[in-house]
Amino acid sequence: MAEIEIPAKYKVEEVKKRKEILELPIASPDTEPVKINLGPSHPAMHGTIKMIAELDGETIVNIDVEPGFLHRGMEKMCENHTYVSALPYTDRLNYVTAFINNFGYAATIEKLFGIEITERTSWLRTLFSELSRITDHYTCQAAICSEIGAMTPFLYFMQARDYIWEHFNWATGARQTYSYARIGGLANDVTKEWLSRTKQILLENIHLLKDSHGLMDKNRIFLDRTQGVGEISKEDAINSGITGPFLRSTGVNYDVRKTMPYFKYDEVEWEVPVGKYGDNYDRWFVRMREIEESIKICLQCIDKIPEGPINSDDYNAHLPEKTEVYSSIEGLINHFKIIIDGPKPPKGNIYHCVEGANGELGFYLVSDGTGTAYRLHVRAPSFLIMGVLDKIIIGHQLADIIPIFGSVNMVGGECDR
Amino acid sequence: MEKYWLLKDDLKDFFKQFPTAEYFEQFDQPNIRVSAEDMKKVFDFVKNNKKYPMDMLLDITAVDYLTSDYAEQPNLTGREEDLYSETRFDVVYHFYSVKTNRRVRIFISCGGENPEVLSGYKWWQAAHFLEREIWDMFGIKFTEHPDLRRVLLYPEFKGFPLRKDFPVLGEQPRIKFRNPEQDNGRN
Repeated sequence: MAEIEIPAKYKVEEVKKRKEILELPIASPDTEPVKINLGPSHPAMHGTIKMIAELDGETIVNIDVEPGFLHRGMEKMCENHTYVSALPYTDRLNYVTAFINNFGYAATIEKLFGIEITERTSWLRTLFSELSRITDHYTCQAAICSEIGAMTPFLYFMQARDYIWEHFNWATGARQTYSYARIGGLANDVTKEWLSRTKQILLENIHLLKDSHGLMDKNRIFLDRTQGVGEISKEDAINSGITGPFLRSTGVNYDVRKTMPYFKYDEVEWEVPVGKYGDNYDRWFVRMREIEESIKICLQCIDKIPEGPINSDDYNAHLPEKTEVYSSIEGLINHFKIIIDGPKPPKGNIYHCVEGANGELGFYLVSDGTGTAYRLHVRAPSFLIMGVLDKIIIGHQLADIIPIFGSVNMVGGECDR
Repeated sequence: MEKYWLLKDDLKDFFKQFPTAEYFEQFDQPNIRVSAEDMKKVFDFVKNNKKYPMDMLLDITAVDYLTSDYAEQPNLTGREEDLYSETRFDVVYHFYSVKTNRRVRIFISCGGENPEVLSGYKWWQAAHFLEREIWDMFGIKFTEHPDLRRVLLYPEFKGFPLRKDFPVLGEQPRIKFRNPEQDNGRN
C-alpha cells in the first residue's frame, strides 16, 4: 500500500513556520504604538477606572491604570466625625459587602476600647459576613460572565444574589448599605423566621450554583478566554501585596479568617480553596469554591447561634437601649455624650484586619484620646491589586483586558475610598 | 492566646543591628521607630532576615501630627512654625511574613519643607501605588520611586488633602481641557 502523501501545507515544519510568522515580536522597530483610552465611561471598566493602553497591533505593550474616579475623601471625613457617626462611611467602601466593612470597622473600635462582644453578636456577624461574601463573589462572577458574552449564568448569579439582598432587606431595612453594626453590638436582632428562611435561600443557591458550574466550567469559549490569561506567579503576587481570592488562586494559603481568626471562624469547619496557576480561570474557580465554603459556614452558623443579648454591657462606646434613654437620666446623658462628643478611647495606634471579599481589609487607626479618630486609614485590597494590574496585562491582547479586569474584581468604592 | 505580631522578644536581632531604634507596645501590637538614615538597611534586614522574612508589604500610610498633642511627638500645636517641623509626618509601614504568620509595624518620621523618604519599591512592588497615594494625599516624596505622580486625584489638584492644614470645605480652581496630543493625562 502506498503511503498517503501529506499536502505540504499541513506538514509539521510548515505549520511551525507559519506560527512563527503569526507570533510577531512586540513593538517592531518600524511601527509606532497606538494609544487607546478605555473608560472611565465603559461598562467593562465598572465606571470607575481609566486605562490608557499602548497597542502594537492587538498586543498591549504598555498600560497606565488610573483609579480615583470615585474618590470621595472618606479618610478625611472620618477625621472630622465621631467614631459613631463615621460608621456609615464604611458602608460605601466595598458597597457589595457592606457588612464586612461595618464589622471590620466596629471590631477595630472595639479592640481600641477593649469591649467584648456577646456570643450571639459574634455568631451573627460571622453569618452576615459570609452571606455578604457570597453576594460579592456572585457579583464578580456575574460580571465576568456577562462581559465575555455569557448572559444566562449572569442572570442565574444575579437571581441568587438578589435572593440574599432581599433577605438582608428584611433584617436590616436596606438592600445594600446597611450600617448594621454598632460599636459593641448590632443595630437590631434577627428573628427565628429570618434564620430559617436563610437556610432555605442557601439551599436554593446551591442549585443555581450547580447550573452555573455546568454552563461555564468546561465551556470552550470560556476556557479560551480565561485559561493561561492574566497569570501571575506566587512570588510576584506576595511581593505585590495581593491578598484574598486573587492570592489564593496562585497557590498561597493565606486567609485572615484562618491565620488571624476573628469572630467565630475558628469554631466552624471549613477549608481554604487554593488555586495553582493564578490565571483568570483559577480566580474564577477559587471564587466558586469559596461560595461553597461560605455556604457551609453559614449553615453551621445558623445551627449554632445561641439565644441572648446582642449588645455588650459596656456603655463607654455604644449607645444605651432606647427604653433607658427615655426613662432614666443616666441613660439620657450617656446617649447625648456619645452622640455629641463621641466615645473617648485610650491613646495609641491600632491595626485590625478582616478578610474582605477581595482580600485583607485593614483599618489603621491613630487615636489621640478624643471622640474623633485622629487618623483612619483603610487598607483597601483592590487598590493594591490595581497597582500590579499593568504588569499582568502587558503582553496580552486588547480583548483580554476585559476578562482580566473582571476576574480581579475591582470595586470602585473600596479602591478609591 | 496565639501570637500574630512580632513583640520585643522576637526582635532581638533587629535591635542588635539597629540599637537606636525605639520600641513601644500599644494594644498588644509593636511599634518600632527607626531613623531615616537607616532606611536602606532596615528594608534589607526586614525582607531578608532568616527568622521572620517579611515578604509582604501590607500597607504604607502616613500621619500628619500638625495639630496633635500626641504623646510620642514633641508638642506640635498647629502654630505656623510647626508647618516645617522635622517630625511633622510619620510614614507607617505594616509588614507581614507569610511563612511565619507574623506582622510588624515600623515608623519613620520626616518633615521639613520638602519631606522625603526612601522608596521601598526596590524591595516590594506593593509600594508602587501605596507610595503614589501618600505623595498624592500628604505630599511626601519617595526618592528612587520609578513613577511618582498623583494616583487618586487629578494632576492639576492644588494642595495635599490629608494634611491637617488642608480645609475640609472648599473649592478647587477650574482646570483647562487637556490636550491629548501633548500629555495624554500625564503631567
